[in-house]
Amino acid sequence: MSYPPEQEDMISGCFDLIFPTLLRLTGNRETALDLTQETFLRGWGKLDSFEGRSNISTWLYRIAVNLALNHLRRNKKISYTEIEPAVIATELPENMAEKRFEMAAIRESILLLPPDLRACIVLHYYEAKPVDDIAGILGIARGTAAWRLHNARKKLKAELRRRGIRN
Amino acid sequence: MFRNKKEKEDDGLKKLLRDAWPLDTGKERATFLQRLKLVIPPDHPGLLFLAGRIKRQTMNGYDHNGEAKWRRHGVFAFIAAWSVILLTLFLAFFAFHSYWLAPAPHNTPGGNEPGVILDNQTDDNESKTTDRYIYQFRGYKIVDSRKFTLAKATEEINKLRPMGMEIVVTGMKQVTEYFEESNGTTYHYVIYELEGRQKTESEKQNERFGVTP
Repeated sequence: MSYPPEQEDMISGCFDLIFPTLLRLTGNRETALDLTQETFLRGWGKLDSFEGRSNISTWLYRIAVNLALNHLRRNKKISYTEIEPAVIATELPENMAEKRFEMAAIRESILLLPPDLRACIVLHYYEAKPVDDIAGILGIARGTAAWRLHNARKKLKAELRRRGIRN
Repeated sequence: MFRNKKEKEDDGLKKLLRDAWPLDTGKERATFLQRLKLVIPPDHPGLLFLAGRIKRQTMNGYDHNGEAKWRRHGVFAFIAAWSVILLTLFLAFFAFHSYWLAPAPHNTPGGNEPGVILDNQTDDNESKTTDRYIYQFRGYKIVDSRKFTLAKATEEINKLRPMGMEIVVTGMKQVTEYFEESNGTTYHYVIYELEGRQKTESEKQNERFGVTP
C-alpha cells in the first residue's frame, strides 16, 4: 500500500522543508530523520489547532525547530564524526582533500554555535528566511531575531577566521 | 539591483555555507515515506485536509517551500508594476493629446477653413477661459467680444466666415440669441447660460444704457 501521487508529493514537500533544517541543526542524519517524523506526527496531532493565521510551512518549521532545540538542550555533546560524511566523500575527487577539510571545518563551525544562534544561521542562510519569518518560527520578537542573527553571524565569522577560512 | 558592501558580504557568506554543506536527501525521504505509512495510512481524511491547505497556499501566492512568490520574483514584480504605471501614464497623455489638442476635423488636410469662436467671456469664469484655450489649440480663430461691441464682433465674424465654416459661440444665452437674430444663423454650441449666476458689472451697465444683450 502506498500513498497516491498527490499525497506523496505533499508529504515529500513537507519532508524537503523540514529534514534539511533538522539535519543542519543536529548534524546527524538519524536524529534528523527521527525528529522529522516526530514533527510530522506532532503536526498531525495538532492539525485541528492550526488556525491558518500563519503560513503552514512556518507552522511546521516552528514545530521542527522547537523539537530540535529541545533535543540539543538535552544532548549537549554532539558527535562531530557523524556530520555528513557520505555526500562530501562522493562529490569531490580524491585530490581535493584540502577542500574537503575546509568544508568539514565550516560545518563544524556552524555546529559549534549555541543552538539558538545556529537556528538563526540555518534558517537565514540555508532556508532563505527573512528576519520576520525567523522571529515567527522561533516565537520571538523581530528585534530579538535580528540581534540573534547578527550575533550568530559575528561568532561564525570569528570561528571561520580562527580556522583560516575567508569568504 | 545595486547591493551594498554588507549585502555583498552576506551573499558571500551564504555561498560559502551552502557550498560547504550540500545535501542529498533522497534516501532519507524514501525511508521516511515507508515509516510514515505505518502511522498514517493513505487517504486518511487529515492527510487530504493538509494536502488541500498546502495546495491552496501554493495557489495563493506561496511556492512549495512556503516562501511568498513575490519575494523570489521581486525584481519581476517591480518591473511589471512600473510597466503598468508608465503605460497608464502614456495612455492618459495620449488620450489627452488626441482629444483636446488634436486639430479640429475641418483643419485637417483637405478639410474646410478653421472655425471661428466668438468669445464674450467674463473674467469671473475660469472654465470659459479653459475652453477658449482648447479651441485655440484646435485651430479656431477667436473673436473676443470684450474688445469689440457686439455689432463690431458680428462684422468680424462675417469677414472671417467663409462658406461652410463652423462657428462656435461660448457665451451667455442672450449673446447667442443676439447673434442668431442678427445673422439668421444657428450656431453650433451654446455653452453657458446666465441663469443661476449673478449679473456682472458690465451686464448691469449694458442694461442701464439699453445695450443688447
